Amino acid sequence: MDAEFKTRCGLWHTIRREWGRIVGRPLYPVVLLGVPLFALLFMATIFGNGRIESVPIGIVDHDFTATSRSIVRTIDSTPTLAIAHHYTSTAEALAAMRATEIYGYVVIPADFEADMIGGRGGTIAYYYHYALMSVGGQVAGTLATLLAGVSVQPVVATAASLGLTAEATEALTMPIVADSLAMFNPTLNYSVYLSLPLLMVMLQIVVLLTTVYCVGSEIKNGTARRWLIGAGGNILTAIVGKLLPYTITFSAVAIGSVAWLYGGAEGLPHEAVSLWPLALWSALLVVASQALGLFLFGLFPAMGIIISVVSMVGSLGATLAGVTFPIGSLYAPFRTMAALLPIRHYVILSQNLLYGHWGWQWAWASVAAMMAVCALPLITIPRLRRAILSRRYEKIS
Amino acid sequence: MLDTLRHEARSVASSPAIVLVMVGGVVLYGLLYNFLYRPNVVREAPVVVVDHSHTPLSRHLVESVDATPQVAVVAEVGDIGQARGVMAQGKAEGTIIIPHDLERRIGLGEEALFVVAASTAEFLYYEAIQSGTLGALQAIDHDLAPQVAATLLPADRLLAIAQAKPVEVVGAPLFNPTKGYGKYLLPAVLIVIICQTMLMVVCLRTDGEGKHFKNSLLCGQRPPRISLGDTLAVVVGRGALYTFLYALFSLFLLGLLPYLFGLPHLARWQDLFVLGALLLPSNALFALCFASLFRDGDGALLVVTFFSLGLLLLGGISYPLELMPTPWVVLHHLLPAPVGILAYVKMNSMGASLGECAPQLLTLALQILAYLLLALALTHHRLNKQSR
Repeated sequence: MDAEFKTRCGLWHTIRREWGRIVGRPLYPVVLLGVPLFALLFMATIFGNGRIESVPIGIVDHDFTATSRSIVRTIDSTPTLAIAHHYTSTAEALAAMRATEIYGYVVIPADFEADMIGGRGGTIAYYYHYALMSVGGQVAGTLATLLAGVSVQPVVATAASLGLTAEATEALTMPIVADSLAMFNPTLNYSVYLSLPLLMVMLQIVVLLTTVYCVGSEIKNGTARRWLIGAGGNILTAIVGKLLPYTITFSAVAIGSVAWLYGGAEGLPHEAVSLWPLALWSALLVVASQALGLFLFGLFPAMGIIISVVSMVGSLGATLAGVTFPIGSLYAPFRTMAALLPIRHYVILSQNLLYGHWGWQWAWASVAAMMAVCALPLITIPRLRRAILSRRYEKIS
Repeated sequence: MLDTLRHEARSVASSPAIVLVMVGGVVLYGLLYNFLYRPNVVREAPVVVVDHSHTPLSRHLVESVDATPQVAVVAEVGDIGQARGVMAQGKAEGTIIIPHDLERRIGLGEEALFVVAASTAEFLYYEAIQSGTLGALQAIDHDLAPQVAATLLPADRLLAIAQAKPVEVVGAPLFNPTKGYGKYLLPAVLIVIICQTMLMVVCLRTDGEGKHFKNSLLCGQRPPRISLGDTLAVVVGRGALYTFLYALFSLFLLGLLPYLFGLPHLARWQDLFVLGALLLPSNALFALCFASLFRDGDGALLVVTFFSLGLLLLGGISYPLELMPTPWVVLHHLLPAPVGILAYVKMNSMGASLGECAPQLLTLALQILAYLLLALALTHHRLNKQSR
């Protein structure tokens, strides 16, 4: 009798039961495959070719001389910027900035050429859009570099008239020069920088919510006891059997995404010797996110309430992953909060591997942290079991 | 319609989950994000220095870089291998390498070079290191120029070069003078909070409506035939309730919070009112259409939440719309939140007038029309399906 009961109950039975639920409702395939694949497509393509190029800017030229036209041609010749319009006044240019038709403008004052030749210096002003920070920063950096060359032109002309060589003139205008290197992403490509972490932020949200939903809907619909009995009364078996199909599917999607981004069609550059560790960390992110979702659900096993809480916790991952605003610049409590989220450790691990290939000795702490998150549900699982047996959370929504 | 509105308001108020999303999402999230980005700017980006020169000039260079608000020198090491170790530990985000001949080249009247290698793992640190070192370098170059001139030129020609005045170049950021990250991002986040929590509330409200849909919508009345007028009353009643509720929340999110946290608030209240009058109904009607695709509200949340980040990106303030592939630009125009983000940032951060926001406002007006028709069709279909 006992042996027969065990064959009908237990891990395999729970997995099969869960699989039946997954294929029985269109929502699950949508969430398991549709949503992550949409996220992959979105993050892989949203940044276009990943580089900020041909940004429209404006010119306000009050000088109308050969010098001012030469400056305009210099600006227009860079691939980053494209002169979209010439304005007759700064007010017009400002209005175009507000309408986001241009992202910066350069003002060349009247008598600029005369002042420059006459040794009176002159001033060129440029303005860039900083309500749109990324594009504004790019415009500012490019204009600063271009106009630095214009700035020293009077000195260069005088030096040439005094018979100095080109090298000596360079030393005179800029005695020390900084050779700036953008490590790991020399073209400052947005896809290299953001596609993987933001994709995984989205995936963490989906995994967290799906975990809460698939366990929570058992309680909400009053089927939790049947689920537990099907697992031979063992809550651990019940949970592992329920979550395993999701673990496998989400891990496959995560690993496939990594392969697509770094090895496949996208072919983003990286410094990793092998991508297998990243595949492993991606699967670990899935398991840790499931564990975090289960832990949070176990604190108050009423799905209607906790799914909203979990969706808010998941959304914080976008900030606390540390790819937009540096974690080191956040207030201390938020740095601690970030350390509790698997996505933060995933970002550390992926950057460790892809940017610089720093080595295992700097990675193990994040792996340990993710594994610690995996152990968190052990605290709330007994409470979850009591909730299933008592049925008192079924009516809360 | 008034009955629907009253019934809907009662249902919303009696659901702890919905109240939690509204209070937690609107109040807590609004406050939390403002505190998260309160540091606003990145300071003291950590760098490690490899100084092969060991001269007063190289030390002056290092001290000048360290003195900038953007950069902090956290370690000085003997070689690049050790610097790599410091970066691997995550203690530094960049390395400054000063070659052995820095001062000697200046003495000889030659151009000297040093290397600033900054990690792009965190872009704001990268930008801070670049701007900090370049700022320090400009001051040093300015001080060194006379010394180099004296090396290169005979004394009688120094006056000519000293009188050659460089052109002054002045750059200024517009619409965000402190270059704050929070001030750039938070206005968009606030719009996402409004639109996404409204979507969540509507999805949770329609949870489990399935077979009770008709009762739920028509307040228990059972007319023999559902007319278009009934459906219109239901859709408009529901849409009006969420618009009204979120108009109240918007007072907190878009009125009080920007004032409390010093976020941009350039828009005139009349202009914000117009934006709200278009964005909120558009989002409410979109939410009614979206929620009707799902059997239960909790399931809908699985699909709603993950895309908050996507909405933020589609808003076109983190990455310009001009550089996005066409399908995503189309999606930007189809969804209320991204269009609302762009309109709000233009109005409130840049001081754009209603006329300057006309493309976004017109798009929202068209969305209202389209989603109203779609919501009517979907609701009418469901109601009549049940009457049969």
